[in-house]
Amino acid sequence: MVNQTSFLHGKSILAKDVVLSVSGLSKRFGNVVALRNVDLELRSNEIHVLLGENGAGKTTLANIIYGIYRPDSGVIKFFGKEVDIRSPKDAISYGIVLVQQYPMLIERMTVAENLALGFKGLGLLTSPKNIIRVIREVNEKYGISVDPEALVSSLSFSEKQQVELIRALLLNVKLLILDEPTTMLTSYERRKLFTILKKLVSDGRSILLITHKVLEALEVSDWITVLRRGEVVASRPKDMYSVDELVKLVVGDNSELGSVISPSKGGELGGDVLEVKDLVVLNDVGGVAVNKVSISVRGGEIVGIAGVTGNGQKELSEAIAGLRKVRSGRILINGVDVTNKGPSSRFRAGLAYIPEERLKYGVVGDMSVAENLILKDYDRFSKFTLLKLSDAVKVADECIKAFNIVTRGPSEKVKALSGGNIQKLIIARELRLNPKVVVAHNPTLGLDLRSTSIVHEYLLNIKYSGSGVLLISEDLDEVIKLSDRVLVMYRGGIVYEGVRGFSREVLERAMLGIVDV
Amino acid sequence: MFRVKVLRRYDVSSRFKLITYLTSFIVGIAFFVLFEALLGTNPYEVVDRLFIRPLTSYDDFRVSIRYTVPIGIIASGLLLVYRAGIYSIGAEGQMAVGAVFAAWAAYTLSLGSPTSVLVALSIGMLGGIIWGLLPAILKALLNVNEVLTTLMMNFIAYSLVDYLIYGPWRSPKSYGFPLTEPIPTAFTIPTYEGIPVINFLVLLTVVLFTYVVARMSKLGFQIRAYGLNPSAAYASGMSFFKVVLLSFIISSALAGLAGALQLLSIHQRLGPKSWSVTEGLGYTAIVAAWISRLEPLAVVPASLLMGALVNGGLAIKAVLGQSEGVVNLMNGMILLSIVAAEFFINYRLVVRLR
Amino acid sequence: MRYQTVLAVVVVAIVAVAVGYFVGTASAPPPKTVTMTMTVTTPTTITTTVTQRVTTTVTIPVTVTKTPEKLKVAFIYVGPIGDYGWTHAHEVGRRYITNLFKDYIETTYVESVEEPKVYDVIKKLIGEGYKLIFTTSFGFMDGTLKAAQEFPNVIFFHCSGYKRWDNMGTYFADLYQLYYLNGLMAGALTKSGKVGYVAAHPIPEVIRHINAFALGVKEVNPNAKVYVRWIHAWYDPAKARSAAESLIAEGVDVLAFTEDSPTVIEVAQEYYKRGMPVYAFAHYSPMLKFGPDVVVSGQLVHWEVIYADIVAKVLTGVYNTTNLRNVDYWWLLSEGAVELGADYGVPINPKFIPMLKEVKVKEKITGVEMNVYDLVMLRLKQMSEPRPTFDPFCAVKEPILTQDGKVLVRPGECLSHDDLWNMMVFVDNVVGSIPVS
Repeated sequence: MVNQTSFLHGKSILAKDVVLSVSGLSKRFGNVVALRNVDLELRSNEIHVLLGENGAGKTTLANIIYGIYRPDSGVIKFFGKEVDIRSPKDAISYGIVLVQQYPMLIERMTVAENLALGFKGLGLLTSPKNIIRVIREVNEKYGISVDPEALVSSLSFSEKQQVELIRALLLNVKLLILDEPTTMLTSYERRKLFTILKKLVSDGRSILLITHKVLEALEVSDWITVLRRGEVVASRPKDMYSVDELVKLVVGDNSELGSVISPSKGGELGGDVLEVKDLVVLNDVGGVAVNKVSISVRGGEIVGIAGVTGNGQKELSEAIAGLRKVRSGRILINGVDVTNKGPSSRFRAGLAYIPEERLKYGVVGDMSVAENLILKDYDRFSKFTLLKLSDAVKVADECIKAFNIVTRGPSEKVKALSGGNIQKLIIARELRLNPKVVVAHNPTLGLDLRSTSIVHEYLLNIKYSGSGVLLISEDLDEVIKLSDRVLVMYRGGIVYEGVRGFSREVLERAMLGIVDV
Repeated sequence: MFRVKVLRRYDVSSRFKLITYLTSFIVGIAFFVLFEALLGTNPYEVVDRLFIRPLTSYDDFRVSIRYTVPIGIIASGLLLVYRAGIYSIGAEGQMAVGAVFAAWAAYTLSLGSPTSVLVALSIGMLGGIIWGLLPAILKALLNVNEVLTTLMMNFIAYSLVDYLIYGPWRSPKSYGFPLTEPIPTAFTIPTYEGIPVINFLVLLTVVLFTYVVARMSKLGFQIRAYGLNPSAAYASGMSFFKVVLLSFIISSALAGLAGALQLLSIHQRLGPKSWSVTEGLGYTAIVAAWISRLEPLAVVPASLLMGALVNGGLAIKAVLGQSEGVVNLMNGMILLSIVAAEFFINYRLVVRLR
Repeated sequence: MRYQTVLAVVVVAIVAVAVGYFVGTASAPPPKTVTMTMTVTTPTTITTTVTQRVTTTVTIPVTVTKTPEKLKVAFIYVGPIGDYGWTHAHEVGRRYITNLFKDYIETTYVESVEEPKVYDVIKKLIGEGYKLIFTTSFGFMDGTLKAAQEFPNVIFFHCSGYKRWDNMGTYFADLYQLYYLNGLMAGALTKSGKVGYVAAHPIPEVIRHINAFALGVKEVNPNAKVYVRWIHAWYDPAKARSAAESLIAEGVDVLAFTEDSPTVIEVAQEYYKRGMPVYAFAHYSPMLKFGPDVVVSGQLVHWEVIYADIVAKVLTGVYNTTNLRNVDYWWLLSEGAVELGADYGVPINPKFIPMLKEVKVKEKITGVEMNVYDLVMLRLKQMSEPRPTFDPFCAVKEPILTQDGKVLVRPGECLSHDDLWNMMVFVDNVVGSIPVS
């Protein structure tokens, strides 16, 4: 089977053959229709972008092609032959490899060791040297720069992603599927990734790239298929789309996006609502993650913290939220010293927290929408220690309406909601507490266009209402768009501070530790 | 060749859950009955002795209910800690200490009925709480694994009972044998034709109480949040210390109550062998709690079933003349069928021919 | 799909039940019809108390011309029948009488019954028509009494207890005479003058055995001491091992014990193999094979003798549901309920006979000098007579003293049955204490 397809594949370089064709594919999860009658054709030497909002069915489609799910109906043909992919193992044997959004690597091993793991192609007796040599060859050919002898834990996110690419190449990939590969990348890293991908397809492979970013799709693709609510709404070469049209296709006919956010000067600045003084915080393995950081946020402003992932932002936000012990320094919320106090003292002082890991810290997935909405102030819904859930349901109904949360109702389990709706739910809960300051960490990570703009709007509203916002985000565009002041975090410290009118380039350089004197 | 694939289920209806549970249970029993048949026992008789009589014959039911009550009371408490994601197996020891404390009250206080009984039961609960407190504090403050600590406390409780019946509490009239004096009649709880009616009413009260706590109270809300996602519960400002401590206190108080009730109504003295009052029911109750799927009201049928099984196990040995091993096998099969049901509720198997 | 699965599972279950049913019915035994004449002759001694002995010989010809209804006899055990001690010994007795009275009785047993559950088990047995029920653990006492009061038409016999009723008797085969004989040998064999005893629970039975053993040791070796270690368990090989090893570390070179496993003997055998001779006495079961080089002798029990007597008397109507209030079997060597040795028919391991013959002592009653082997045999004979002429707990010329120097038995006096049952002090050559408040 494998030999046969590689033979076909050899011919296809010239003919731009159809590599993968999917027709009439449908998939339901319980009562939810994830995909409805999807058709898709993917040609050789092409980067094919699957574009759509969160919950449009992109990942489901990828997972079906990769054999993680089985379709309810439909046919998948690979190089013209109908295939039955029952598991990722099957998929790999056909030459289909999926690179997950988060690299699955063993941190305490070197790159070479990780790649040698479970890799039959090299044989059991392959020496480490051999593997290293092969990796170097691949590096050179595609312009990848990963040291095969480096520990994975020392690599940046984008380097880890490249390790996954090398793995796919070693597996003789013919169709590479990438699920949201750019969410965690800086623009520089993103451009580098795209360069590598273009080299990969020029070598005869095909790539199916999943994203929700319209501009990115236009930047990298040869062909774009737009999915909306499980259905294909358009599929044509890139050049046949305009930006506006593409946005409309992705979002559907919805005028909500018409309101383009333009950060205005805002009103009067209030007093300090969040003060962080000489904060030192350790990471999980005892190293210094946040090193003498001082930040102050005043009412009525948004302070952005930019930086490449892993420079202490996670530890900083967790320390402010009370989820991580402070080594030294102080944290004051609305003038109240909450250093090393529990989370409850913080939200009583006026802190709202929108965590990065929303499924871990933000919601209890197995509880209902209503229950999650009162997760912090359930005291207000109780009488003589008994909980009055009927009141909570009323509040939930209001929140669902006000924040446009798409759900079957207050009693639906939160884990059934899409990422964007979970984020809206968290914001709804936090704003109900009338916070003095909101700490938001990557609030739009993994959200689609519409949800992102809604979240941005809420953050601006908070600012206009006179409260402060600390926006910690790895999405530089977001930081630039929303912030009145920007701090850049690099290796646990603040290396740059600028007020509105900052240049993007200066910020990007600061994020890499290069600060102009 | 067969190829079996495990797929996750979505949107499982409660009807399907019920069907799956019953089916797994029936299959578990069916396999046991088949095994019995291979041993040469009449399967109808096995089923009859194991379930039907313990639940339907008045004479047998009287015996079942005596096991049902402590199992149910303890399981009610355990489901609270299990809902919080704390896996205490310490009910056995808490039950034993509850009985010891109640016995102490009976031997030292001179009170008239019914104050005497109420006081002894309260002191029994206090004993359970004291026994549960150490693992609770270790868990709440230092996050020490509660499975280990509670198991250890069980053994210490056994040793405590042994010390008392071989030492200071040994009755002078027992020819030196390890028996305590019978408790004064003012402290005994009467039974009606061998049925511990009062204890059963206590069980129903306890079930209602845990229903309110688990399903309607603030504490129940916090417990559930911690059980389902401890990180989010903590980030929401819920106190881990409070949740662990309170759920532990309630469950160990109930285990102590069960021990005190058994002492005052059934055994009326501490006797030889460490498990004289607990009869291992503190462990049986763990199974009952899981059979109830941690639903307070479901504890009643679950503990009735487990009570019947304890009784039926005796019948398997006494009437059908089979060994202890066969009874253990049956318990194992029933446990397995519950685990299997849990699996089939969450996943389904697709078998294909290749 | 899932309903199909459920359906399939249900079908499998039904098939399993059906198959089971047919296999079960197919293997049910056919009913038997027996016609016979029965004559039972039993010379028996009923001992109601130590002081009052009544001997009866009953010969009752019974002619049965129709299908006899067999007496249903049940045994309730506290442990598994496969243990190497208490329950196994009773099970041997049950099998013996099942065979002996095979035309008249049918028996069953229930093993591993937790003490508090005995009443529930008895009720089930009565529901099945059992008319004679033996409960063989001290802890079954209260439950058995409760059942006896509730079911006046059923006969109960409870082993090792002290509560009786119109229809409930008690029985026990005690080993103290054998421990005394073992003590004589231990006193002769110890070189260090330190003898060890690994003891189960601090109850009168065990204390009585330790004292009897110590009296034997003292009779041969007045300076030797008996060191006691409590393990607080009837069955706990790990604790028995560490107790034995710690005793040996203290200089003990002969060991006796009360524990339901051959662990102590295995320890002794291990030390012997390492060139450090430690000798041991077997307990309760034939354990010679676990330590052929180190086991000197031991104690064996014959419950079947008691069971045969009780069943014969129940069958012949001597015992009925109204006259058991004073029936208490307290059977010893003279009734043949116990036997000296570590294996049946081997009172002393032949390997040790020459060693015992080398040690000479003065017999304390007559003052005649004799070797310890002869002394053991003499005492065995004296205690095995229908009216024993010797008892370890009778003081001859010197008083028997307790650890703190008080007189336990004055010269010329003996301890009564009740004294033995309540014994909670050690005699003067025992080192160790009884853990009581």
